Amino acid sequence: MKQLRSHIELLSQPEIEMIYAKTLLLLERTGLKVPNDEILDICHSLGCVVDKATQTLYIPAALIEDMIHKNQAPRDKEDFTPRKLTGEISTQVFLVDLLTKEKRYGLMDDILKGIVLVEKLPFIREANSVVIPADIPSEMAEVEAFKMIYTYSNKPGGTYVLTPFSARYILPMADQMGLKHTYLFDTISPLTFRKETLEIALIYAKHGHPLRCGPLPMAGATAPVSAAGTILLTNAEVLGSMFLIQALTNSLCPFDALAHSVDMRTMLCSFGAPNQALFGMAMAQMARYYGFTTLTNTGLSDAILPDFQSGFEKGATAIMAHLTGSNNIGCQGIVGADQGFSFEQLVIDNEWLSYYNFILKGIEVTEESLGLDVIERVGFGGNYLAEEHTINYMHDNYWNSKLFKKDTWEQWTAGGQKDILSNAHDIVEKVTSDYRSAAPAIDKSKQEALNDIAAEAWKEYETSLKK
Amino acid sequence: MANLDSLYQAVLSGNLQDTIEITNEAVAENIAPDNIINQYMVPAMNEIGRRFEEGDAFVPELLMSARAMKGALEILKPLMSGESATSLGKVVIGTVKGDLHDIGKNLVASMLEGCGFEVINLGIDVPDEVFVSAVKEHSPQIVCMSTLLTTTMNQMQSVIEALKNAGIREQVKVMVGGAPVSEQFALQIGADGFSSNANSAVYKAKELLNCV
Repeated sequence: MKQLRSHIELLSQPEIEMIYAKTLLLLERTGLKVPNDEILDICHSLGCVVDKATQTLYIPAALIEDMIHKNQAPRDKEDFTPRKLTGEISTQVFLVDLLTKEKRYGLMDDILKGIVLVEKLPFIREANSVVIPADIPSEMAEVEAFKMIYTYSNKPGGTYVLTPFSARYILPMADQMGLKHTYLFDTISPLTFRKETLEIALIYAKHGHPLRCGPLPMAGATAPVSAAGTILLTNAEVLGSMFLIQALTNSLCPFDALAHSVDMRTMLCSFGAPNQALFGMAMAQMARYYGFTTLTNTGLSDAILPDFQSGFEKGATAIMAHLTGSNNIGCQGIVGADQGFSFEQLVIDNEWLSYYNFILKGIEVTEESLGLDVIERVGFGGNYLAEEHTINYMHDNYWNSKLFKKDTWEQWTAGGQKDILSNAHDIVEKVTSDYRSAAPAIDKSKQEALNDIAAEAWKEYETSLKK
Repeated sequence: MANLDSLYQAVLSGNLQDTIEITNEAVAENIAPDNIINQYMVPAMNEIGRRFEEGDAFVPELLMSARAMKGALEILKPLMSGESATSLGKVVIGTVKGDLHDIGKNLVASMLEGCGFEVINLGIDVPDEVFVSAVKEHSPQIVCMSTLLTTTMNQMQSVIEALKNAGIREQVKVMVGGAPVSEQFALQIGADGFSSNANSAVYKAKELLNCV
């Protein structure tokens, strides 16, 4: 069978059922804080209990069970590991230069450089904005980022949408492109939504654009410090968010569960602690129990530099969660725990994903690949270098990397004794040497349409300043 | 008889109930509040601070000790007179309008309280006018603002403008913090201080009030 198969379990069936039962109790008894009357009315019409005075939504267990029952995919009895693992980009506030060890606020120019770089990175599936640009007013940052991505990228992409103002202009842009943009409908843990998040969700739903959830409770701070408690709270926030998304859009989103822990000394969200592997595995198992696909925030690191800590944390957390059934991992190119974005880190991340996907692809066992005839022909001693069998199978059976080196000491010395960061930097420089001359990926009429929409947004923004 | 060595342990381990009981016993025995604070409670706070700095204690332990200390101070402060009854300074603190995140802000508030400041915590999603009213009502020396979102960062500048418009900007020092905030941003919006964590926030507050 040409594909890696796995069957890893962290939770027993009774444990899964206990977490699920407590989740139903939590959503029914404690509920979710949903400060939006329109959404509360929709949920009330579906059978939820609503307290408008406290803006609390109580979801009866039967409604959650019905949602799961109607939407669960057939479970794969052989537990095939998802076939491919790719990363995307999480827009950061700061741009980090790991070589000079400096960080600064992001710029529009960085977004363009990111678009050009991502075109050449096959395991980075979306050309999301690498930074929030600080060289234009923050109110206009999201609109301008979308305009640039839609204009120059051949891959899908976007950035976090944080205000209803942005949503009102970004969605017409997506419509012009014939694309759907998915809004990250996330909670402020524990169990709370921002007013703005709910307003944006309504705008997306009314324009026919999808929503996805991504609760990020943090063990020890915004979730119980026990892993089990955090898994319970995350499970409740994910299922509650999925219920709301179905209520607003009439379609279900994946079971994306981004549970984290915090560093108990700094209160900084931890990206690479071993807890991430445990959370990833547990949430993947919960998703499999329901028959949903899932993203877990694994494949991340707390390390600032791309060093051993970084590689081990990324690899260990992603692989454990993935082999348990997690379909997606966290965003790539991040320096430490959301300390900024690094082009070099993204190149390194693309490479480890290439490495890992080579393993996932598995091996082909056929009459031809076994090569009995060539083994018999070469016989005792000798080698296979000049055999046709070698030429035929070499490219599929050999992982080649220009970044993960296998040099001799002499080759390494002749090359300037560079580390992985310097090598990644060379790739970034080569790929992006001419990024400011990047040609638009869309025709003139679409460019004009995007410009017109952005101009309208600027007009509204400037008018608001005069008030 | 009040066991004051146990008071040290109670504050160190963050046991609020024991701290209050022993403090009440000490007060009943007419032990001077200054003595209780300076001989037992401050050394306990120093010790938990030392352990924290060395990586042997965690934030929740720091907060529990600060809470125990605050509980005892509420008993002792009314009994004190003169300079020793005054706090290091008064701080108004809040997460700016549009933002519901409060862990960092509460951590700074607790650390300031534990270190001797009086703190008026306005909570989350705080409008400009509430900051202004709080300054007028409480006359703090410092206003602290926090945010986690880039979309609400500019709200900090808006609060500073509101303080100016109300004619009270010069009465207070303004400190800002939060994940997207930098020293550069703090200077740009006209704040007096920036801190990236709760420990340095306390140091910065003391520095601004010349208490270091």
